[in-house]
Amino acid sequence: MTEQQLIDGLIVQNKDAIEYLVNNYQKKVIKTAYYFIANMEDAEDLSQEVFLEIFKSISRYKRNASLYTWIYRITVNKSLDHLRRQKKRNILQTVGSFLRVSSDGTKRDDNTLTTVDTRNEDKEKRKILDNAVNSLPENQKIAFILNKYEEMAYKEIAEIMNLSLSSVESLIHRAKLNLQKKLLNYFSEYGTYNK
Amino acid sequence: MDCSFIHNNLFAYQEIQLPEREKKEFEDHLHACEECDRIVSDFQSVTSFIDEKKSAEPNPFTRTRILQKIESQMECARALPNPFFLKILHPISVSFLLLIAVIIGFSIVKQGESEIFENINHQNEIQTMKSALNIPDFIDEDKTFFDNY
Repeated sequence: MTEQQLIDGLIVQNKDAIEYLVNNYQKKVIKTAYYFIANMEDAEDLSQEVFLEIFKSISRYKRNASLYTWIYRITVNKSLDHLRRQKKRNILQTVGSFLRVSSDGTKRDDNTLTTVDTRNEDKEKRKILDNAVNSLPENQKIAFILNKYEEMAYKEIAEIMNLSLSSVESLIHRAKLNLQKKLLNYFSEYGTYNK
Repeated sequence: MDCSFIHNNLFAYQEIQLPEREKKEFEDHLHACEECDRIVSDFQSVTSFIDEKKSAEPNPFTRTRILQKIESQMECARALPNPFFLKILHPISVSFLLLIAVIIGFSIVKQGESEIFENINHQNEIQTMKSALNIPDFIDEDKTFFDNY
């Protein structure tokens, strides 16, 4: 099925076209979402939202970018929305737990504010990496994830992000510098693993 | 080569992007500086989770869930009235409701006016009867007493 046939099929809600779209893109969509939100179940749920969005707005799809690029854009936007919602929820939970502990009159444990699970080293390392990537400015985060996790070329990233090649290069360079800095800060604050 | 060069080139070293001479100096520094050696191995062990993440596989049943969701969405869309019909029906129903609201408003105002007129007529009738029967108007005796005092 060509891209044009697929788009036309989706517009008229053709079952074969829908199945073709899901079969060919679901894994990519889920994995991209997973790289951003770091939770496979949430990424799978989010992929349903992405496909519904594709299905709903396919009639408005402007063919100035490839379908693949357009789907990536939707996935990235949905993932960022999810992260924003999650961030708000986490702030409320942190404030809630802080208030609960304070009202109990017990001493507040500083570890309640960090999301690090010290019981499991691997889990902790994963969390450190996810937190460091998530704390990057949005554009740096998108460029870094598409480059390092998706292994996309700068040109593809530029197309998805609607930026020039040099901007993407600069974003990735700054993202790496920031990540190095954040991880170094973390190591100096909490100590290192290989003592 | 000092420690700051190591700290600023962790990714470059890991991605084998340092020129050969710098790479050698980098590694020589790691042999000499225990702290930097530790930092580099920590950095590598944390960033190795990028590769681990890449190998994660989604649940194979997600495909069915996605297709079911799209199917149910399509059924919902089919159950809804024609959007063209909705486009016409919506302004008509809003205009109709507005018209009813205006009519109700007018009737309430009219009813209020007639009650006021009735009240005035009633007062006039009482006054006429009082004057016909020579009944004086009520005098507030307390007020008169205090005025005189």
